[in-house]
Amino acid sequence: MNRVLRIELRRGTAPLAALAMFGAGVWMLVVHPDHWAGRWAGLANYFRGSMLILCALMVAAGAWQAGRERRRDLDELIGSTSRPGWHPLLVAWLAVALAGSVGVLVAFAGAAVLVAPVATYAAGGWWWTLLVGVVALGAATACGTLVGRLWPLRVAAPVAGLATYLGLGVLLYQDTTAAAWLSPVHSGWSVHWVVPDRVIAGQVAWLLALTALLLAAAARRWRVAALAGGVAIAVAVPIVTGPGPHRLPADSGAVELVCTETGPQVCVSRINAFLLDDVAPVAQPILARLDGIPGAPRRAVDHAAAPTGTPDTPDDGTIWLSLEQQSTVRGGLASPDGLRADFRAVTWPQCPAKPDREVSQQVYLVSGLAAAWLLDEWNPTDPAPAPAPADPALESLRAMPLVQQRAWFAAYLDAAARCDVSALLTLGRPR
Amino acid sequence: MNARLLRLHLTARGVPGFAVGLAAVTVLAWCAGSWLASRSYFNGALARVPVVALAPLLAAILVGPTLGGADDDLERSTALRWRAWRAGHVLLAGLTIAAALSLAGLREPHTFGAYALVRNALGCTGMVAGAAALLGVRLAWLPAFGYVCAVYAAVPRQTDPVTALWAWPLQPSTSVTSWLPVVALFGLGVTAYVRFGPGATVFKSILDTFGPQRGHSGPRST
Repeated sequence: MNRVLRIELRRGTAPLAALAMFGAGVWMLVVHPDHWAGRWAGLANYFRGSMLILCALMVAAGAWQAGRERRRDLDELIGSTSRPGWHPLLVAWLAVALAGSVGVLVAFAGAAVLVAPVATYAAGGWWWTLLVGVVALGAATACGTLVGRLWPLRVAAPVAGLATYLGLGVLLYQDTTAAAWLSPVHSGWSVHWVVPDRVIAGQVAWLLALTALLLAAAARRWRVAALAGGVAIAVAVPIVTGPGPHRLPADSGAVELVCTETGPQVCVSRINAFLLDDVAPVAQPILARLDGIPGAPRRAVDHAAAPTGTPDTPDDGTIWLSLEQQSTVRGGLASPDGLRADFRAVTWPQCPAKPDREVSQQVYLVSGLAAAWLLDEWNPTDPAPAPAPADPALESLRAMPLVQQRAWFAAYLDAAARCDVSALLTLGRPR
Repeated sequence: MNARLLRLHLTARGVPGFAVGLAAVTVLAWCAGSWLASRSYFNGALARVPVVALAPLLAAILVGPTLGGADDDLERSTALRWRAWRAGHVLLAGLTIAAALSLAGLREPHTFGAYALVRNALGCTGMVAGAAALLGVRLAWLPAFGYVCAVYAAVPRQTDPVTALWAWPLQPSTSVTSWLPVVALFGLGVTAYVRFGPGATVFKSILDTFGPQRGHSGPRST
C-alpha cells in the first residue's frame, strides 16, 4: 500500500495537483492580502473563502486522475490483477487529496510566517476552521474521482471543476439558511465570530461521510455507499435544522478592547490590536477637532467590539471604526483614507428616507459640508469616499474664527440629530 | 461527396455533442444572467460578471475535443486540404460560440452583456485552439481554464489600460484595450492550429528545425 501510494505521489496526477494548488493558494493570497493579513482567524477564514476556487480545482484534479486508466487503456489490465477494484481507486484518490492539500497548505504556511510576527490574538479556535477546509479538499477530490469514473469525456475535468464552482457559488447565495453549513465555502463571517463546536463537528462528520459515499459510489461498492449515504443524511439533518450562520457569537477574547493611553481615546479589539499604532494617528486628530463640541463623539472604537444591533451612527459619544479589511501584509493600516471616511458617520443626519429627492439632495450637500469641515485637510488618494467638493459655503465656513466654526458644527450636529431640515438648509447657506 | 465528408467529419469530431453542450451553456448563461441582474441586492446588469467570464470559458472548453480526431497522424496521411478544413472548423466554432452566447446577453448588451460575451468567447476559443496545437487536444482546455480562473479569482476592479490587457475577461466591453489581447489570442491561436494542426506538432516542428539531426527511423509501428 505504501509503495503504491509513493508511486502515485511521484508519477500520478498528484505532483501536478500539488503544484496547481500551491499556485492557486499563492495567487489567492496575493490578490487579497487585506482579507487575511495580521490575523490567524482571518487567514483561516480566507482559506475557507478560497474553497470556492480550491474545491473546484480539486474536483478537476480528481476527475483527471480517475480518467487515467481509460486514457491509457489500462482498464482491462488493472481489472485482471488480484487487487480489489476499490484499492487502486482509493490509493489514487488519497495521493491526489494529500498532494493537493499539502500544496495549498504550503502556500498558506508561507502566509502564516507573515501573520505570526504581527498577530495579537492567537486563540479563537481558528484551526478548526482550517481543519474543515482540509477535509473538504478530500471530499472535493472524491467528487472528482466519481465524475471521472462516470463521465468518459476528455473535458470531464474542467467541466466538473467549473460546475463545482457554479454549484458552490449558488450555495453562497443561500448563506443565511442553515444549509449553508453543508458547503465547505466560508460565507464571509467576521474574524471575531466563533463557529459553535457543534457545527464544526457536524461539518467534519458530514464531509467525511460525503467522501466515503462518493468513493464507494466510484468503486461501485453499493452497500458501503448506502451506509455512508445514511450517515451523511443523519449528520446533515441536525445541521440543516439548526440555526444558520447569521448572528454568530463574538469571541470575548478577540473583542476585548485595547486603548490608547494618551490623547483622545482610540480603542481597538484584541484581534486588531496590532493596528492601534497606525489607527491612533489617523483618528486622534479628528477626535481632537471634535473635543468639547456638544453631541460629538469623544472616542473611536473598533466596530468588532460593538454589541449586536449597534447602529453605525454615534449616539453615545462613540464612533465605530471598521478595521475588518484594514491590514497590510506587514501589519500596517491598508487605507487611512477609508478609516477617515468612517468618521463621516458623525455627520449623517438622522432622517428617514423621504420621497422628496430634491430636499434629500440638499441635506446631503450640507452633510458633505460638515464632513469636509470635520475631515479638514483630508486629501484622499481614492476619490470614491470623498465628501462633496469644496463650495462657497465651505470656504466661508473656513474663513470664520475657529470658535464660530465649532459653534456651527455643534448647531449642525443638533439639527442633524433632530433631522431639522430647515435648520440644516440654513446652515448650508454661505455666510 | 463533400456533404458526406462534412457529415463524417462533424460526426467523427463529436460536433453534435458539442452543439448540445453549447445549447446547454447558452441556456444556463441566460438563466444565470437574468437571475443575477434581477436581484435587488445586486447592481443590475453589472452583476453578470460571473456569467461573462465563465460561460465563454465553458463553451470554449467544450470545443476543445472537436479540434482533433481519434488518430491525428492517420488523418494527416489522407489526401485532404487539412489546413482549409481546420480553418473552417475553428473559425466556425468560434463564431458559433460567440453568436450563441451573445443571445444570452441581449438585455443591456453594453453592460457585461452580449459584447463582452462575444469578446470572451473569441479570446477563450483562440486560447483553446492555440493550446490544441501546442499541447494537444487532451490538454487544450488547460491554459484557458487556468488563466480565466486566475483572473476571475483576482477580481481586478481597475479599468486602466494595463489591467485591461491582462484582465480582459473581466473588463467592460467598452474598454477598447481589452479587445486587443483577444484579437491577438484569437489570431495566434487560430493561426497556430491551422498551421500545425492538433497535437504537440509545434514542438515537433521546432525540434525538427532546430534540434539535433536524427537519423530517419523509417515508418513508425502502430
